[in-house]
Amino acid sequence: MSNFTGKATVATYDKDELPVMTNATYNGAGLKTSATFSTSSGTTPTNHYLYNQISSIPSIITDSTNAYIYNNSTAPFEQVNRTTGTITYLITDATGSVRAVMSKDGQIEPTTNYDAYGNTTGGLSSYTPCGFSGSYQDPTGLIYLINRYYDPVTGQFISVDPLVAQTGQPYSYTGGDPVNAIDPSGMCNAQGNGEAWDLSNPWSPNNPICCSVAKNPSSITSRILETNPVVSAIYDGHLAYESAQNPCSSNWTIAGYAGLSAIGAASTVGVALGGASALFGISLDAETAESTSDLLSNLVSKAQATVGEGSGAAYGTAVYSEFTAEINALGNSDLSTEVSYLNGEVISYATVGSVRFDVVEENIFEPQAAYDLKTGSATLTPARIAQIQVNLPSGYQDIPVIEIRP
Amino acid sequence: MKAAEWKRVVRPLLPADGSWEFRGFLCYRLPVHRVLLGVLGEGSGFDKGVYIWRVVMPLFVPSENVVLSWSKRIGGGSRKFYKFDEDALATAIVAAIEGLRSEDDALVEILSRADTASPNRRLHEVIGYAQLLQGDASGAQESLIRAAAGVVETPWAQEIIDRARLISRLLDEGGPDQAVVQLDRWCDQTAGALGLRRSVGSNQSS
Repeated sequence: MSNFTGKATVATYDKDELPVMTNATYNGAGLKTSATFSTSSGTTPTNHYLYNQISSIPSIITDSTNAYIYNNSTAPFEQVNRTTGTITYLITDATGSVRAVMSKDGQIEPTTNYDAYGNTTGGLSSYTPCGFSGSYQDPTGLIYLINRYYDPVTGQFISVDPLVAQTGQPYSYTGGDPVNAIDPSGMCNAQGNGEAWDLSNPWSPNNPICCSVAKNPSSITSRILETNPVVSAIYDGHLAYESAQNPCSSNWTIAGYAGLSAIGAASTVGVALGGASALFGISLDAETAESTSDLLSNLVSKAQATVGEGSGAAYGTAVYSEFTAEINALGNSDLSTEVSYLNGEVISYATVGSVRFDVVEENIFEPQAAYDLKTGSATLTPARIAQIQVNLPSGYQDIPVIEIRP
Repeated sequence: MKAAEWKRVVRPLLPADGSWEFRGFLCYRLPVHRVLLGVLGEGSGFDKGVYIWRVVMPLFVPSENVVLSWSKRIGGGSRKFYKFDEDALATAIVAAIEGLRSEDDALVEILSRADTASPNRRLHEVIGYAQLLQGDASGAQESLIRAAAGVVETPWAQEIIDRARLISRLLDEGGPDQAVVQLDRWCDQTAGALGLRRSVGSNQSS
């Protein structure tokens, strides 16, 4: 597999008669954001992936077919078809492998069986790409474990462990003990060398990101029968609010899978509080966006210092004007100021119905992040973000929309 | 800057050997066939500066607004120009005008932005139509498949898909000529919506 060093990577795999991945793109965090697969009969539509990068191990929350909702497991507990809205619950075993699905009226479909290394040995396997160990399996048959691909046929990773200097295990999966451990990040230590995951609290921030998870502590079956806010909300129009159950995302106070019922597409909105800037989105390029937001925050402070003390609309406009001048002075061709969008097109200022960003990063027709300067008490609301997202270019509606403050 | 002021600034900078028309802050070159070419002054929301655009707008995608997705800001995405700096403003406008080529060249420029890996279905739609107009029917079909692929995110995405499938079907059933006829209908529709004059002798779009 190619190294995660660039945004676009071409990869090709040929394994028996399975499809071949002909093209893939990765974001700055090394997460695969799209992939195209080919078979002898043609090329499949490009599949796009969106991640929750706030959790310790990034998890796919949408692909082009489904949205995935997680509770305390490496596997999603619910899968929502993004076109039909059909809900299925994924039932996992002790290692987090998806063994069956349950419809929302409680009907359990046939099981999937795996051998120790994740090869299916019976039952259905096509109802979800999340299978062995709850991880995402490509049409190629390879399992995407975030940092590496795992091949269940050979029982080994197809590329070297990025931490091989520490683990001494370049290709081994779970140190050869797949019955008692899983490796959701593709960076596990050999069994016995890594820290144990806290089985009573698998999402604890004290757990190592790089570790073997020794069994999933809970079957999701019992959880989905509980009356809890998550499940209740999902039944109520596909809008889920993340509870405080996940301490890794305790700063994530609002999380929504909005728009599934309204426009048939999933978007995710998160609000991080307490910083110089507020991050309003699960980012495909979160690290890049955050560094740019820091830069822009500094420029706002500089603009404010230039303009001096003040308040009110005129003061705000003066700061904005100085801010755009500061950005221009940077000479950074990746930053554009005052860019308006309507229905996925770049249009001129003040066009009815359009949304306007103070700063857009990279090619404005294919933006990677958008920034909104705030000098007063007003703030971006989830409703406003939803309005913004629907007007962004197709394929870029889940870019981070970031509030910038001095 | 008001529209009349913009006109006063731009008019003396226009080449004498061409025909130009003003519509608000847009100054465009005649005749207009399938691609709108011109220069646009976009006001800033924060001060009296203007962003100068070299406008390249494919008319064969129906629109009721001047679309700038294929256009370019002169001096970079954050460069504004001010009336008090007349030289810089004039230089930017001239640069925008001089950067305009023929409609065929504009199509080639559009095609140079083709990116099969892009998730932007609008990009694939425009590329597909441009390929068709350049005589590459098979390439157009591939681009239109990409434009129509995946999950429908928004109502306007559905419109893209419907259009792409229509052109694709026309290509299959009637060949390129029929498909181009449909694109030309959309050109007329867009030009009409924008109130564009199409040729030197005409009043407005056909």
